[in-house]
Amino acid sequence: MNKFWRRFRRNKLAMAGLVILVLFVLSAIFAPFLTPYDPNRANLRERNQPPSKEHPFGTDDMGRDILARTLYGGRISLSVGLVSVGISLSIGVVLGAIAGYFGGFVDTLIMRLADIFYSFPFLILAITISAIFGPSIYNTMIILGVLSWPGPARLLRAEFLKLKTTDFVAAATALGARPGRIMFRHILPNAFSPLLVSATLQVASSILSEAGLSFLGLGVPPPAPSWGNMLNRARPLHVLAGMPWMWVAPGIAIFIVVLSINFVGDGLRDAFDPKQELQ
Amino acid sequence: MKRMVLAAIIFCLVFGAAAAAQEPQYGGTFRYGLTTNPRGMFNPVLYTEAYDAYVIDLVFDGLISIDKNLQPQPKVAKSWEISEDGKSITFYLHEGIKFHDGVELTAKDVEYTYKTILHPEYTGVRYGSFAILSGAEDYKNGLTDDIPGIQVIDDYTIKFTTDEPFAPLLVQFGYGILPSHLLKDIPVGELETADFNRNPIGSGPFKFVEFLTDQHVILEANEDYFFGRPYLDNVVFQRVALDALPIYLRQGRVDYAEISPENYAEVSAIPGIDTYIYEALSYSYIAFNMRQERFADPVVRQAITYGFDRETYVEVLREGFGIIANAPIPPASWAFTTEGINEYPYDPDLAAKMLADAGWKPGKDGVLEKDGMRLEFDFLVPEGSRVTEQMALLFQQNMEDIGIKVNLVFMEFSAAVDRVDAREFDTFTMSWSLSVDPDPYGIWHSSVPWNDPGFYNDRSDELIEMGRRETDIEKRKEIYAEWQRLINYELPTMFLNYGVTIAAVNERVQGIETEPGPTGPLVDMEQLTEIWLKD
Amino acid sequence: MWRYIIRRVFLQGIPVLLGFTFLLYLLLTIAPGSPVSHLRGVPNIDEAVIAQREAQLGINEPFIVQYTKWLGRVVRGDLGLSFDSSRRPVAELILERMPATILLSVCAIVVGWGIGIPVGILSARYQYSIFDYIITFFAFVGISIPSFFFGLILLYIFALKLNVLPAGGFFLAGETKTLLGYFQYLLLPTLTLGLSDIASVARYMRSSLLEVVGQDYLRTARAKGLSENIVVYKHALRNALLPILTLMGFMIPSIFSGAVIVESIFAWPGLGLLAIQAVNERNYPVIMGINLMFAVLIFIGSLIADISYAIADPRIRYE
Repeated sequence: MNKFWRRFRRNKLAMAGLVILVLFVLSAIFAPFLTPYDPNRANLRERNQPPSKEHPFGTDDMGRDILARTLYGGRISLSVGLVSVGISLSIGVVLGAIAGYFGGFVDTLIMRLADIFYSFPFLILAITISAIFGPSIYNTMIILGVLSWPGPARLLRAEFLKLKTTDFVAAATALGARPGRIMFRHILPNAFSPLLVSATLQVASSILSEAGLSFLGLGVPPPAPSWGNMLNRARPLHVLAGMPWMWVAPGIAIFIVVLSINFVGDGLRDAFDPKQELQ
Repeated sequence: MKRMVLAAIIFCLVFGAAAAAQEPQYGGTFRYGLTTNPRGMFNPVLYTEAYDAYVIDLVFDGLISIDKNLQPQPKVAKSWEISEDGKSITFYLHEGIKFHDGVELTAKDVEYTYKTILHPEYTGVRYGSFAILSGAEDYKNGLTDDIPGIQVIDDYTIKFTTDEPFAPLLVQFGYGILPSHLLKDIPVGELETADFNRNPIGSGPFKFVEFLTDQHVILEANEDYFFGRPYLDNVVFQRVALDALPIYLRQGRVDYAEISPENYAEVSAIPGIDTYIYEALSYSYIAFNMRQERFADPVVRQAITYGFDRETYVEVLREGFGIIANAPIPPASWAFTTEGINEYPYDPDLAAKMLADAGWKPGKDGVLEKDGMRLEFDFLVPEGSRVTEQMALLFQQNMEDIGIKVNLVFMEFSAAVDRVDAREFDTFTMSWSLSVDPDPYGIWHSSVPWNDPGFYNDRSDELIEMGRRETDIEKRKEIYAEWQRLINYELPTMFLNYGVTIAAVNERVQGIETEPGPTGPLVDMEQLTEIWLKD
Repeated sequence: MWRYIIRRVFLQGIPVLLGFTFLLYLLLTIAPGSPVSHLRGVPNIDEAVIAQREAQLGINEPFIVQYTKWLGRVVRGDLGLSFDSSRRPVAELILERMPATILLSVCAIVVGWGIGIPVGILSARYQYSIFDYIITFFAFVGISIPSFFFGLILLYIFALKLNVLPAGGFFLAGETKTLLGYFQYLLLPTLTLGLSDIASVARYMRSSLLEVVGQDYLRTARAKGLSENIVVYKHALRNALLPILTLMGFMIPSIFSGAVIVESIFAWPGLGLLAIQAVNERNYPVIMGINLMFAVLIFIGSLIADISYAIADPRIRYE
């Protein structure tokens, strides 16, 4: 672990990403202490104001403070990212491990199921589900999570297939270790690193997917702020050009956070896998 | 009562106006920018989408056309006659009008068009508009083979009859006339898949050339148009991305487009682009579910209306594009009235007092209560419109100020419609686009399915029925004025605003209507026959 | 290999498609909103007309009947008629839009891979150099911008400010289709759609190459005294490119999903608009048709991915 941490620390981009990420998470958690404004309270006398002392990031078309909305939006966007990946991991790890370990019919069944989910064109299902249950933060999380479990499942299964043929598992089996024991003692720890890397990257892509859904009017519903639906406010070109403060804050927030997560993910990958170095 | 209108009048007006300006030039392509492409159902009796209608209006001509004051004007019918008892209309057709394939248009074609709508196997949606014709119901149900209400007198005369006088009928005869010689052998049930719908042949000022899905529709001038060849060589409906519409206008890639209030400032600043603002035949509203006891008392509905700052909604959120509405007939209609109409100006104190006087008292959490009822309710808002979403937020805040708790429920449009149809709502917001005739029967009569608020009022029904039977327009005005006062008091829905539309036009386009009526600077698309392009 | 493919199609592909269409149709029918919801706006419409329409479309029947009928038609090669007012055959609606979507997707893939692969190679070759950092940084930037936002910015700069490119669409009516024209209309949508691909292909390429380079046989090659350039470009590259191929299969669904958004920004006349419109209107046959087609494409993609995976890693064998 120490060695891993040393390697990770040496990657400056990854370290910077980690620090920024922690800052964003903290600012989202402590949002109420950082701004006096209610992110949802409209004040029509103060619409469309450029940044000022009272509103450091300006106000939006309902006179809501953009700093407040960006901070509170961080709560929503970050939790959409984390929870959806949590959902996808819990399903994917269990099914992928079962499939990879047992193989045969169980494997076929699970992988076909994965194929079915994989075949769902993401947007269409997202639209349909949000219509059935009504659009909400939770449904966005569930949609993003449930649709992406085949990713981790395939990954874990592939790791299993690879590791099953390695010497030490063969040795363990020969020594009479039980299946469950092999699976959790030997294989899971080995599969941990690629899984963590892919989960990290998936948090980033979930945050981006939420933004994409917002563009189609299917993401986190108003009036609650998410970075995605705030950024979508830049859509009329005159806002894009004439009122940059409306999109700069959420845009930079998405960008920096996704970037940081990617740096961290990449740093993790390099740190886990010392092979990847040219002499 | 007899009324004769002559074609000559409108032609004098048109040519008079054009001559006063500049000598019109022939030639050129007029590009109309659409953010949604037509579906490709270019059949006057089967289409349902407005964009298909744009094409149909140019390719086909109807018996009558509607002018900018929403009054009927002669077209294929050079004149008409309404019988003394108000139960029949006789149309006299021009002789020598030809379809684009050279075959003459006669009363047979008119008969075919309207009989198709009433046919038992007809798959379109227009039956309701003509069910009133004598014998239509029996024919629709397959009991008879002909309709006494449609009578071809000779090649150029056709008579429509109803059992009761029915004032809104005349203006419904604008649907394009189909060429029966091309269609009569196709079973009506299979008409919707006919190739004709994608390659329409009518008698209108433009011929259909090409429809490319999601890209464009091209039309060309009908050289032999009965009413004179249009100045333009081509009309193109060009699909344009919503976000990029202002760029298209600026680059001169489209000559005409309807724009949203949001884009107004940007587009009106483009040199060489003129903008026209006009009142459309539509209004937005918030409906109360009057089947619920808490909304049964008109005082509650009135207080909520007083308590909502509609001035801010129209002036700030809609940026002034809209007119506060207080009754369901828009100013664009001849039946509009302000006489005796309460404007319900924003007055939260009055709203609070009215509710207090009616016995509503704040509960533990400050929300008003009375006899076990609570003024906390869901507000169903279809997603997609930014202004509507802002309006909902404003409504929620305004209501909070007077002790009413509103829970916003945002929903995708089709899903919201489902809830409304199932009557599973407390309040919701939507808007209505209205037809040319002000007859409110289809939305407000107790018997109709679209009476969403559940407004059942004997006097209202009586007035609505009277209005349909009355053929004297002045008397109809009186009836509708009284009806509007009744609705304005009862407020089964809170009226938000009458619609306003903005059109952006390139200045090279000449001959448009500079003081537009409810249909805009292009009156009924037919205006395109008078438009020419300056180079 | 061929026996594997055939088995895969019949024993796995077809059951998957059956399960998928069954679930999707079920979701559609239990979703609120009906294909006749939009008729609400038609003036003077009669309730009986709506009932008649429902009967005509067959949507008043129970789910299982509807699905079986739909499946029966599909097996005979008929995707049915669209529910909207145009009543056109679904296959026709899809086929006339397919070329545009495929053209855009292929261009995006070509750009993404054409730029991504060389950049990834250089980045790996000079790992932890300034060049690597710059490339890595831009690659990260590329995958960190929501594509709709990138598209809007491109529109703003090139169409509005510089006024050098059209603001979308695909040739005006009557415009001559020149090669330059294709380029002009394709450039912005392709960049928007391809951006994240350039970035992710570059990153995959980089790490794939790094992995191969660390392996024993290359150590041997180095030990033999071969120069680093020859080791990387000649020996490692061939082995590193194979796993990248598997990526192609996984990228097909995301390219198509991305196309939905890009097409709506640029009014690109492809399937995206049709798909969104169909879902909003609950146009079951069109939704089913588009999804079925995508599902088939995605299945083919995953098949290719699995096969190339097997080629890339001989330790995995198909029983």
